Amino acid sequence: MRLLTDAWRDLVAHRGKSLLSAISLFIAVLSIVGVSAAAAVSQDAIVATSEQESGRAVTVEATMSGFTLDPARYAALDHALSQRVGALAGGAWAVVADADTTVGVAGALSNHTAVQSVKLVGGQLDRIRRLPLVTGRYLEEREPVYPGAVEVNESAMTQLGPVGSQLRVALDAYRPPISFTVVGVIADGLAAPAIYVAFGSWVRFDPTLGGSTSLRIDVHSPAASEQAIRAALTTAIADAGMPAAAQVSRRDRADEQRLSLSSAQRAFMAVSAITILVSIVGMTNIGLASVRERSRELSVRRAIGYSQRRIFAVVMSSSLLIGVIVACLAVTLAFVAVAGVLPRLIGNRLIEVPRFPWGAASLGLIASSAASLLGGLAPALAASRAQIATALR
Amino acid sequence: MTVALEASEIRHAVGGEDRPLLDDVSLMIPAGSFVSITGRSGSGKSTLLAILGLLLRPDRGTVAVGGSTTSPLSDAGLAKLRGRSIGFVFQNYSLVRSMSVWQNVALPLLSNREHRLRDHKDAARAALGLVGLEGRADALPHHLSGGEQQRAAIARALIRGPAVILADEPTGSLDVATGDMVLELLIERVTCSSTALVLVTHDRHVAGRADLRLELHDGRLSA
Repeated sequence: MRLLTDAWRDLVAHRGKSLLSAISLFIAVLSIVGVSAAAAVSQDAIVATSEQESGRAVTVEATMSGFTLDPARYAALDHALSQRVGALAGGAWAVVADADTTVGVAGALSNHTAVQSVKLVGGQLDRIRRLPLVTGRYLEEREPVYPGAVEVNESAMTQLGPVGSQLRVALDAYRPPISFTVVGVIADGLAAPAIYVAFGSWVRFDPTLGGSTSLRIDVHSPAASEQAIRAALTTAIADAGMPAAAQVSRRDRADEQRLSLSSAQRAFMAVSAITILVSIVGMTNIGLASVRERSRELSVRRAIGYSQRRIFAVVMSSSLLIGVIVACLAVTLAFVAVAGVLPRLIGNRLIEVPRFPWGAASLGLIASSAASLLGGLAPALAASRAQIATALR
Repeated sequence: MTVALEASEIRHAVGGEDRPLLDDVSLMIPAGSFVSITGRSGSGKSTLLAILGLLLRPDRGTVAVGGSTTSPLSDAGLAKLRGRSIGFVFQNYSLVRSMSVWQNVALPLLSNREHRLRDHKDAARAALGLVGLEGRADALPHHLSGGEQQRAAIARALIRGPAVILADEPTGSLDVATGDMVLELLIERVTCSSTALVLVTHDRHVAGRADLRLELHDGRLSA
């Protein structure tokens, strides 16, 4: 405490030089904290977007077309997927059919409103993709047949109405519209209106679904290998007596994006490391100049009872205090940017706003402290070796 | 008689010269005494003061403070002894410009644990009271006159109750009237305590006030 008080008084007494050192270090530390915070936050945001649009790691998809999915076949597929995917750790599956032609959705019985996309969904799509719930609830794995349930995205909600609205949905001009109730609003990352209809409900009303409808089956497990997921998916399709998938491929892109982000992060961190080195050299120069200017004062301190070790400790502590203050300022600035500005930038996309990465704060504190200690080393040595006899001349 | 400071057979050369600046110098400073040292410029007065103040180790000879020899002490040991037993007053005051007067006066307290941090300001005010500057504790040194700065420097030298004050031309930068006032102050402190005063000066009038007057000539000390 006594040493810190001494160092603080020393810092304040020579605030001009201290400020110069602090500015030199601040730029470097802000760059370190900024790069690592930005990398962590962008990783969160980009991965969140990727998980919202393509699915969490690891998700494998099978696409197929040219068959009729009647209730019996859908029930067999449901059963087979539940068995095979259920055996995977944390396994989840979803059957998704994008209707080829959307005729429309009738809200308030007869008001005809065009919707760009109608998706029939079975299984647990919300466990595969990151689909934050805005209001209401998610579709259940097996929704009641009547009245059927649908989820809509925010864009569709503005066209069709909120949770509780009654909709009449038709997939094409030759099929009769079917009534559904909006049970939830989700953020799916799409700007265009989209509605998600419970697959099980639909096939009861429209057992001829298929033919021109392409089908996609997504299987996800956070712990199983891609190979195991592929095997579970193809086996389940075979168990259900369905034709082999036209294509089985990895669907999620999160790992690729993480890799690409980490390469960019490494490059920026290398630049930040160079700025830290420059700031160490700057602090050393400023410190040595300060020691030269203060040679008489340092000699007087020695004369009034300071040992060499004490002078060394005071100069090093002053330098460390600069490092800690600078780190706190840089972290505060980064925190304000992440907590204050980021929600405004990405809030309308309804992705959960990433939290401030405290790892970046720790890194900044460590880098700042280490740089200030290294930058203060030569000045502290020079100060402790001052010729004290000169104080009397 | 209590001896505050004693130097025996001091020999010291500077800059690798064969002829020593100080040659076989011995002196004894009793507690509560006032000793003046005069001599021409370059005669070695300041060097002798640095050796007496444990700032410089002599090439040969010993210095004892309060009866204990200082030769075996490490740098940290010397610093501790210096802080506890010796007060310095310099010609140009040597106050830290950007610290307040009380912080300058309290500076010697930071390197030891005798006083709690929260008591430093009170201790500094008490020391400033001894030199009539209690009202200027929060001022910065450059807001003080030369005489006031030197009084603040004397307060800094007195704050730990030293056995001896070593003063190097303490009136050298002051006008005659202010110099006389500062000298009176130093003598007063010596008179009302057991602190000894060793004062290096060119001024024979100042030296004439001392109990013991010594002159340094050709590296040797004579009365």
